[in-house]
Amino acid sequence: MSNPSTSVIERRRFLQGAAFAGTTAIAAPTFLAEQAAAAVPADSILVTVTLAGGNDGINFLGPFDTGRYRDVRGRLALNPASSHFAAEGQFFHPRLSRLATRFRRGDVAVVQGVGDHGLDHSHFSNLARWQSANAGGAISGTGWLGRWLDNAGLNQFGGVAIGGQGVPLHMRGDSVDVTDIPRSGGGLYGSDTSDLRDRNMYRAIRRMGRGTNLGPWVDRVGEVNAQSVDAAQAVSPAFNAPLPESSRVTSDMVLAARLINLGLGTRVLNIWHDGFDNHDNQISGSADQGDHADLLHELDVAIDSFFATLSPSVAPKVAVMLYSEFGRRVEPNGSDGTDHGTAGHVVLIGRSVKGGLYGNKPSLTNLDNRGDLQVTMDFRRVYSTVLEEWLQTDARPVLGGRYRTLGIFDDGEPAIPENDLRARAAQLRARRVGNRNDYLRVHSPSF
Amino acid sequence: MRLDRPAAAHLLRRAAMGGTNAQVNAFFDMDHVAAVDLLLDTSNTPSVPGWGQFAGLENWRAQEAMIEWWVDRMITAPPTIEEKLTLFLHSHFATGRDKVGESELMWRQHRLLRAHGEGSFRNLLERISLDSAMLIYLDNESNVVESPQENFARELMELHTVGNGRFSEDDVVAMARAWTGHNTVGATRENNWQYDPTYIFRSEDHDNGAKTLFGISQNWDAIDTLDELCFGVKATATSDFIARKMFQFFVHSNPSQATVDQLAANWRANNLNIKSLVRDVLLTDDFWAAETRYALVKSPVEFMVDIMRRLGMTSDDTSVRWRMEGMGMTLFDPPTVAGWGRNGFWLGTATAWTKSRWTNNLKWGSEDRNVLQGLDELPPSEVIDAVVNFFGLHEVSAQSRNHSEDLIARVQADYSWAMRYEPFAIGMFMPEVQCA
Repeated sequence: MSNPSTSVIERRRFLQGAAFAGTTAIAAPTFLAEQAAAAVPADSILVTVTLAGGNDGINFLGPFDTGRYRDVRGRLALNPASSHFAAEGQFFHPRLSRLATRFRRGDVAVVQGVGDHGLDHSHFSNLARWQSANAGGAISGTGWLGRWLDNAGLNQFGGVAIGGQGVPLHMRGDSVDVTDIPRSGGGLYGSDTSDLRDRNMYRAIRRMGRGTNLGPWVDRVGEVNAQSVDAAQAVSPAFNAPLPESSRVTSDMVLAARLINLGLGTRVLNIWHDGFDNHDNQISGSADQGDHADLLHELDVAIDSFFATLSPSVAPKVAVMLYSEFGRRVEPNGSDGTDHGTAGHVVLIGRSVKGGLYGNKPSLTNLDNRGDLQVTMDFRRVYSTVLEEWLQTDARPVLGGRYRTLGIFDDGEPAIPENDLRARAAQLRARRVGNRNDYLRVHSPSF
Repeated sequence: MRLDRPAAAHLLRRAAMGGTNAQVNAFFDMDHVAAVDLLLDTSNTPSVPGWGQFAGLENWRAQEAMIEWWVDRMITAPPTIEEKLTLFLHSHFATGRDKVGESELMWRQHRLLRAHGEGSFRNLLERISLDSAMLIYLDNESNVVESPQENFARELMELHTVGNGRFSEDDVVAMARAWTGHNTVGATRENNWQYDPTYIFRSEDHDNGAKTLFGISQNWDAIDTLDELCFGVKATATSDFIARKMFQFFVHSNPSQATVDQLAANWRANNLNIKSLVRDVLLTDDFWAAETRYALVKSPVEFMVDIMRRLGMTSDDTSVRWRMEGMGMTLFDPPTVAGWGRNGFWLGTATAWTKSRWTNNLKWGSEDRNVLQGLDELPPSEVIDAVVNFFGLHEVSAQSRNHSEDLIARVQADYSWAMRYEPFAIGMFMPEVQCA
């Protein structure tokens, strides 16, 4: 199979291998580059958690002890005393205690002010743009991880969608098979091999299709039927023990961890956490109670359960990314809720994450002309970072443009503040020499 | 051309929602043009109930009942173009209950699609665009001069008429301005702050300034833009986009540009009469070519309707909505503004598992219904003949035949006392049954 991205990856692996072998056929790699190759595993795994509905970013992590925050948030304002200090005057929501602990361990990166310009405030178009992730903003039938999967040369478990509600747009590609696993996955057809009658059926199903002379779609349907029987057997161990029932997102994340532990070759997974469209009842009673608090608590527990379920040898290879289609308005509406806003946080969690706050702290005074938070970070820069630094691929063909990466993943280099341009330039030069990326990153086209 | 049975079955799979062997026989030996015209004649289709049929139901249940009604209608109505064309238009002018809110508005739109879906595209475009479901779904209800909302303006061009890449961002801005003031009544003091989804034009919210759309500067209003899209400077782009999409829905994914050009030119000559385009598409050489058979993957509703009809089932006998959703399709709730995709869009492990689960559920029913039973003494080839006949297949690949015969032989060897559900179940897994 020949496709451009695979060959880039293969070439890069070859170069890294050559570096360790000490050949001089290429520009001598620096020590840094060798560390880089060692720090990020070749089979890194990304779990996206889609916080659907529009997560209120400044309720998730915000400057809870400032007067401006209390003025603008009114009844929604959280008490800093019961919140969890993060850094730079920012606090995590009271119900995110586990995430805050993880942050203090240095395993959580929060990218602030993330969004895109020129968007309306519709869930549909915002989510579609975030998931399509094309330079210029076009909504397409494929998404960024789907386009990566198209050329990653993985098996049918390379991409896994949890929930059985279809493959989400960001994992859809032109040719990739993403395995969509329903949460009530026990008893998937093909998993029960105890009865000879069933085994005979599976045998026939596996053999039908392919080379039928009735056209490509008849072949393809046969192939997918066969794959589904095989996949049922492969994933069924994940359902042997009951899944936790405390919340859907915990159940789904534990299922995801079990599937990763099975070692099926999975590189990207998606989980939905729905319900963030908190136009009303975002709080009820006090500011740290209500729908949003419940959702954050569920998420907090789910993330802990996820990492607790991962087997220790796999855990360092896994990063979790939380994202949402938009943040919410700064000022609450009249129903103890918030309406659709603009910028939000993208959060990356994992052992290989260089923890901290990235991007500019959202200003509560310098708002856009609609009174919403300014978007100060193109979401494609975060994706570019994930693609380049974590999935170790060239982000340009995936996103259709160049976006400066953020240095979030542990490449053996110390974190350099973004505004220290001289140090950053040196770092970039070092990376270039080290063949970690085969081009010098340039400023993103839109910001 | 005289229709043989395979050709008649092909025509019913594509232009209608499939047909029984008896229905295929009724088209046997008919001239193919006469057969197409017979399917295009919808003058005797049963009437469509008003909202009253669902009015007493909870909102979610109403949507489910609408799905059940439609599936039963597809199963039982005499084969015509109406159901398939309504399905095409539902996806083309995608709106969904999830955002629109009230099932009643989706039902109103559904009736509108049936009442006007066979006439002028220009007329349908206007009716749909000003109908509550679309006004809400693409947010034109809040498109006002003080803060234009571009959602509808963009999709009107990108999805409903000219297609992506055939308009500029400036056109989106101008189009949005032209559609300002074409809103819903909304919640007003007069109606006691109750939300009213009825269309209203408020001139004070309309932008009366000059706008440059497609390079033409004038005081554009919504209705003028539709004429321009259909008959003006965008006529070629729109007719090309729609003709291609309809060809891909009814025939196969890869029409030649010459074929599309011919269809589009004829369509323009016919003043964008939708039925005339469908007729031309069904009469293309490509439609009748041998390689077009089974060149499409059945959508879940096509698959379920065909199987349910063969088993003598209605929506009372299986949970239609739940099963179909598991296969990736919820009628009245397409996944995005772009509606449903084709072919590969319907394929995946989760959808395959849902089909398998449904098959597992139905296979016991097949015994109760005495479907494909009592074949134990027949040689495997004759058992599979019966299966192929039951599912109305006229072309079966060597793979499907060999491996299903092998299955029957094994079952007969292993369980000499009874074959039970295997003939039915293996038919359900034949890729030919899942394709159209």
